[in-house]
Amino acid sequence: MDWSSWWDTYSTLVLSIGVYGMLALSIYLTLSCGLLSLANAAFMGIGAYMSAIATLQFEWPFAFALFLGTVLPAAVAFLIGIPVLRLSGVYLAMATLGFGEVVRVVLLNLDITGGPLGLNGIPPLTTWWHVVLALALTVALLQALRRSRIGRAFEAIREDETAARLMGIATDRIKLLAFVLGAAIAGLAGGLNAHYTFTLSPGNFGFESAVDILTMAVLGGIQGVAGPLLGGAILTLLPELLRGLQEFRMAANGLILIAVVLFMPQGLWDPARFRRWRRSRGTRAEA
Amino acid sequence: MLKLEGLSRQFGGVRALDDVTLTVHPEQVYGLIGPNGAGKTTVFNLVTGLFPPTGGLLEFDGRSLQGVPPHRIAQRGIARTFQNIRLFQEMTLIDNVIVGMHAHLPYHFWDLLLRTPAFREAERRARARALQLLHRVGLGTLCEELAGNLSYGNQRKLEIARALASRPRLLLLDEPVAGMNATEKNEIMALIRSLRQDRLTVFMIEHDMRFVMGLCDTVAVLNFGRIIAEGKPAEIQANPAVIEAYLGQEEPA
Repeated sequence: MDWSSWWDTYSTLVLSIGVYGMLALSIYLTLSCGLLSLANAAFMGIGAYMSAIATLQFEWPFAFALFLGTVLPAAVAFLIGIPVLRLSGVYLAMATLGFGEVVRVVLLNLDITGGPLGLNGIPPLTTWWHVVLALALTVALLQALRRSRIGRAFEAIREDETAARLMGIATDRIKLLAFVLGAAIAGLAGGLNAHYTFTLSPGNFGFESAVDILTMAVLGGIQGVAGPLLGGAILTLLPELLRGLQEFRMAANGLILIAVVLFMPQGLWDPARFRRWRRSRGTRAEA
Repeated sequence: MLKLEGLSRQFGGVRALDDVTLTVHPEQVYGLIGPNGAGKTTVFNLVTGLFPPTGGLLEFDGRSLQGVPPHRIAQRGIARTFQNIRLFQEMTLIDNVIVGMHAHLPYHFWDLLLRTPAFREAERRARARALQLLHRVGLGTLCEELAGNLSYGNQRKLEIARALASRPRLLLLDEPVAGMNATEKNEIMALIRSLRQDRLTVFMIEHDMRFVMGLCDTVAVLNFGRIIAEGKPAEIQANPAVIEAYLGQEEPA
């Protein structure tokens, strides 16, 4: 098979690995701050619709459309984050899940989003280098945060919010920052996604995809940026490799999640486990 | 420096603190003692803004602390440690201490995105100072270890280093030597003496009498949410009300 026909067949899959990697990173960002937020699928939807409407109906340039698709979800996250982030743990998960449902119903009922039919004929503007660039920027952003006072604040809040506040960290603002940045990344991923799938429908951004995104991050591990990328890639490829099981995709996701939580609670990418392995192999070699 | 006037706090129907009045003066080591459940930690929780008092006044440096959120109180110069140690267990010792410097890292968001010289310099200094603080409490050699792997006594020392990182003017220590052996207690004693030489004000809760009497300028005794005595250590030790609170009343012959 030559390159161009291979690319014709698999381009959607390859681009999806990158886009889902970004989504997994967006939830990794909020998780690293101790927030179990399940709103990222909804933010992806807002970004996807916003940028698709911009190119399809207003014929604005793609870059500007992506910009809008990044900024609008961030603005929405800012507004709902102020009340919602007072919650934590499962209560936050419930509230963000509820928000996702609201977004889905709104997308279903607005005229500009095409109602239940969704949007069709979105121009295929996303190319491989757009995805690579967006992914690289996301990884660079997350790495820069990690090695700064903001990244340390995220970690401190995740471990002990009260202690973090008493260390002079404005925990409310830091949590809002994580939430808004997560929404922006998810929105950008959504904008890129819309411009290679041609169609959008409200059902793409509901409960199922919220769980998918969480599964990617948990499966891959949240000890660093490599984990979510790995999880995103695996869960994008898995349904293709197990084509026969297509209808059982959700069941398979669920089983994988259970298996990982049971046997690898830190996820597949776990630097501490790698160190243990290396050490045990080292001692065996000596003996 | 720190003034509590008629301070009270109720939890439901329980009066945890009732009309507590005391003043911690600058450069003093002030001790708060009392039986378990007397409300000592509640005093610290009110001072650090974890919850509001139900009545009374709370002032630091002449400014009211009422309604000020905890992180702002910390930024004004009050740092604390916890009775039930609250470290960031999965972070290294040095990162724990640098978290304490959060409000003192003067770089902006774009500095950290672009790794500007200002960012690098601030981070480099923070690390250097954190290392210094760790050496000061005797943990310098363990700086890349995870906090959760430390012994109990060392965790308490790390909490003190982390509290000092925020450059406080008032340090609240909640049972700093609980669970420590005699050697460690002496180390902490020497540390607090050296902090006082650096003109830091210390307000501490402690059960160890030798420790309290050896360090504090003034001691207050809290019993059932009320201050029953305040004075110099020697006066407190001779005070009949205090002896009664600790040992119970002598039966009349």
